[in-house]
Amino acid sequence: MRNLVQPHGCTWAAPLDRDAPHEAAGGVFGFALCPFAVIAYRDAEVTRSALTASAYQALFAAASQTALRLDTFIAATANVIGTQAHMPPLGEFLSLPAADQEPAETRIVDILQAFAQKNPAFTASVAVLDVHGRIVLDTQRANVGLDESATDAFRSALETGLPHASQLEFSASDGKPSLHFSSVVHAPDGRLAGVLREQYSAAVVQQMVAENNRLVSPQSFALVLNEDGLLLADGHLSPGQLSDGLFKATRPLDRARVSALRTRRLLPQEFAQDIVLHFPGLVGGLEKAGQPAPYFTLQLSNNRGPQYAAAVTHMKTQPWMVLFLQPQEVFLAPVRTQTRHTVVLALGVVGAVAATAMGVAQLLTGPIIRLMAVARQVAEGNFGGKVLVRSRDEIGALANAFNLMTERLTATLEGLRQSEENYRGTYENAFEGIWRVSPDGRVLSANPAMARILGYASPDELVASVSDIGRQLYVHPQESHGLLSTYAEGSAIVGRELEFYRKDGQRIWVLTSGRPVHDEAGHLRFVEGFVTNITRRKRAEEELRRSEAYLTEAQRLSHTGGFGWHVASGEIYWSEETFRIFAYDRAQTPTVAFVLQRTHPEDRAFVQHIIDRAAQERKDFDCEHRLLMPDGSVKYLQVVAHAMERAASGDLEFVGAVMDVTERKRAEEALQNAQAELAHVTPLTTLGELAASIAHEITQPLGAVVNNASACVRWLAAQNLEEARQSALRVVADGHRAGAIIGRIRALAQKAPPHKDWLDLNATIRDVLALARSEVHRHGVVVETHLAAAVPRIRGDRIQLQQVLLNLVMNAIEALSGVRAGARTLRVSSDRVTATEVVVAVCDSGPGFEPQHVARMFEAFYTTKPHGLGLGLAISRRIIEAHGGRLWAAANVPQGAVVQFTVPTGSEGVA
Amino acid sequence: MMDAETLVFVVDDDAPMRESLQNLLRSVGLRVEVFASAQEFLRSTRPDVPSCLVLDVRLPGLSGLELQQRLAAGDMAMPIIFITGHGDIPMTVQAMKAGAVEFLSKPFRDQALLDAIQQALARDRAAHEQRAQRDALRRRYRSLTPRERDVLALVVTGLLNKQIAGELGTSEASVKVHRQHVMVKMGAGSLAALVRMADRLGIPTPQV
Repeated sequence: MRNLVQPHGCTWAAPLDRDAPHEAAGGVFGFALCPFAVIAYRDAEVTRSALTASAYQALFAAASQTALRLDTFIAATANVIGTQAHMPPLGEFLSLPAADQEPAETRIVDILQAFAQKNPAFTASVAVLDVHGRIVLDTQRANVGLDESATDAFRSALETGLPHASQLEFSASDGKPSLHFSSVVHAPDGRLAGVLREQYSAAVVQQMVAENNRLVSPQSFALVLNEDGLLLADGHLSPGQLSDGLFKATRPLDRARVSALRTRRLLPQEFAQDIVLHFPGLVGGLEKAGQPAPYFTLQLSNNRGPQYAAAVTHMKTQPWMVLFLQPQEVFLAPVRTQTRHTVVLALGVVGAVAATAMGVAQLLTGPIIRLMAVARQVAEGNFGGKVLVRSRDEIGALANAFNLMTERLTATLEGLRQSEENYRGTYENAFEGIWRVSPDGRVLSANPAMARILGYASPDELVASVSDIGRQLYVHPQESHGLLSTYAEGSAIVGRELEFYRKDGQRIWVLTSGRPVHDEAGHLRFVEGFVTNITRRKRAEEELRRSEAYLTEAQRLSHTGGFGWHVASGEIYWSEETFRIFAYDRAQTPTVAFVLQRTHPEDRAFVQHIIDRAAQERKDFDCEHRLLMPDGSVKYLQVVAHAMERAASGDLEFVGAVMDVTERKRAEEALQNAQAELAHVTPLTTLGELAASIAHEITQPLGAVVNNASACVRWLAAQNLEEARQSALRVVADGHRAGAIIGRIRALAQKAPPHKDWLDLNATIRDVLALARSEVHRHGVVVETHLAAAVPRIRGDRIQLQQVLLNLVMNAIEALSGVRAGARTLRVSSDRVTATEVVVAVCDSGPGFEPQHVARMFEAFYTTKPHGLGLGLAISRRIIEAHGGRLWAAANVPQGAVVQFTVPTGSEGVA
Repeated sequence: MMDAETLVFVVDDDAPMRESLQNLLRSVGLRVEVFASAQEFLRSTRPDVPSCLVLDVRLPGLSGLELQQRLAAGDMAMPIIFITGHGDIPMTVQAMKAGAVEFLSKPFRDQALLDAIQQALARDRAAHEQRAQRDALRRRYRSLTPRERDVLALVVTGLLNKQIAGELGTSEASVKVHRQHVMVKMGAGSLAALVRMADRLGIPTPQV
């Protein structure tokens, strides 16, 4: 039903989400850009080829200029050394026999130094060699004597007789990369005298290359390679520097080539095959250079690096190539700028066109979009919207028809909603649970009361959670099958009590009714059920039944029967147990006569009297009397009754209990007899416990006797008679002490018949403390006595009073063992409280009494000690009471317990 | 029969027993001091001579066994002879484990007590002597300067003067002087004697 309120109809509205005008504008925009892109591309290509051609020419010119500069330097330097070699002093010097050369050496060295000064930055050494290639003199003194006969410089000079410039090679003397210039020296007589050799650092080439770097642009630079592709100079590097980048191969070299180059000193000795610089495009470019033009492009590192444009030219004086390079991006920069401008222009034009197109589209589609928006609202269930279209065209007519339609819909819906709300109110707010259940046990729908009864948060949760009510809800699932088969037969069910599980697993009782709903074909569609929670009622019933059962059982166990007596009618109600107590048959109706008949003949008059008085005075009564049973046995009864007036009639009624107390009576009698016996037994038991302690008492004087006697013997042996006499006297005193102890024990152990005597309570206290002394020490207890001087003598049984005191003292000591050593104090005091009473108190600093024990501590057999008999205090109280006194216990201040007793003073007065 | 420089303490709360013990011990020429309780004994000032204690197990307040523990914990241990009126086995075991010399049940044979006392005094005399020696040794050690103690610690590990100088960052000559002072101040006639002293002082020495 809810579906009527919120129809699902949004799917057909989906196409509206796409915006046609924007789509069109996007298309126009994209399409208009194409020609611009073509134009921009063409333009860029033309510019690029023009710029590239011009850059190549500039690079070739720069390469040629650099090559010319290097050629000029080498040729000029070679010429100069040719001239220098002709200087007569050199020839004269070299033609002298070796032995005579020495005086002239200084002058020749000066000359060589002068040669070196011509280009001091790069000249490594200047030397003269004899005809055998041995260095005779050198500006680098260390080189003198070295053999350079194998070098290119020496041999070429000798062979050609012309000035010679070497390759860039690694010097035989110092191993550094160098250029060697050499020329033959002739003696005055014209024969060969030797060779003049100048060594230039390779840095001179690097310097000249670096100086020419910027011939084309700030980013341009030159490279110099030899015929084997070895890198000799690199404009990238700083001028004059010879770094690791040099003398590496720009193309792979086979092993034979490497070895040949190394022999000619054109490679460093540590050159390894893998030190090959990879300049993609270089090898191919060089091969192609000059056919038709000496230009190509290359990269200086692996493929990701920038592209360089390069031009190459060959030198004349050396088999070297000079490359001039420039990054393509430098000279192609104008192409990028041009492209950017074209793109900006294109975007501007196309944007303007697209905006115009959108405006026009908006104008046309506006009314349709508004109509769609209102239609969407209707689809979402909101019928309030109106389409505002004023045009008189087809769109205007459509809008009017649409508005009419929504008004009708609104009216119909309102009617439906009203009627639905009426039923829904009943359904939603009912206290009864209402649900529909499918034949297979699914919950199809439910009202909030149903969910509440079953403990679910909402009907939806109930519907979602329960897929089989028989299995999930019924405590006894077979009941569910029974109900379903009844429904399937077409019958309704009224007022069935069932046990259900709530969501939380709690069991509840429900009262359920239901009716089956069939479809046209007669199949059971669902069951409509009504459910009421009757758990509370069920529980109350259960409770009542149980309490009745308990009551009966309790009466039986406690031998207590109940009765009711309606005085006016004489009607009497007896419970089962009452029948049992009176030993009457349950079938009979009890009467007052019935009761009197069973009553013990001696008590009959008493019972009659009680009954009469109760009826007359209308008051509660209780009494004890005996029954004489048919078998001759006697039962003791305790009867308690409560008078009540019936609310309606005001008739008197008694309700009460009859308790069979026979067993208790018997137990009390037995206990009294037992206590009388135990009054004699207990002192001996206590004595037994004390025997071990008292043994210690005797060993003390005995030990002293032995020690003093031993000492006496020794003093006698030492002839010290005075000390010996003192020792003997001590032996006598100790002996007496032992005797006194034994006397006290004997007095305690005698089972003398109780006989009262005049006695001194303080002396009795002292005697008892002496007996307990050993226990006191064993437990580390400190004893204080506060004995009043003016305590009169009392009349009593000494042994019995000692027994009471000993009992109280031992109890106190035991209590003290529960507290920390050092805090164990026992105080015994005596005092005269009134003219006729003396009080004796035994206080301890122990843990005190538990409140629940205080009430019962004087009962016989009540004890808190694991091995106690529970007789001590009971007997003590009996003894004190036999003496006409009182015995009681209280809490001590600040802690512990105090047990005290009074005894009356005799008429004898103060002793 | 015994030298006067010894002392026997008796703690027993029973006055006649206490006096009889005093009488017995005096009769064999022992110096005796008697106390009625453990607290009284602890409060007393006791001369520093070889001594022993005759102690009753059961005493009011602090018991004999507790007094034994108290003395041991307070570094005042002395040989103890327990006497008791009724000793049981656990109590005896506890007392003997804690180092009692003897455990006598009253009444005991006088000779048994006297033998135990003699044994206890001999034991304490030895301990006393050892204590005195150790104190003297410590006194001598305290008279050393910190640098001399450093040198001593290295000398007894068997290092040569040169190695010690290296270890301490000083010259060999000054080590030599320090070493001489150490030997004189400690009164050691030889390196072996010095090593023994160091061992008794708890300074690490090479264990052979």
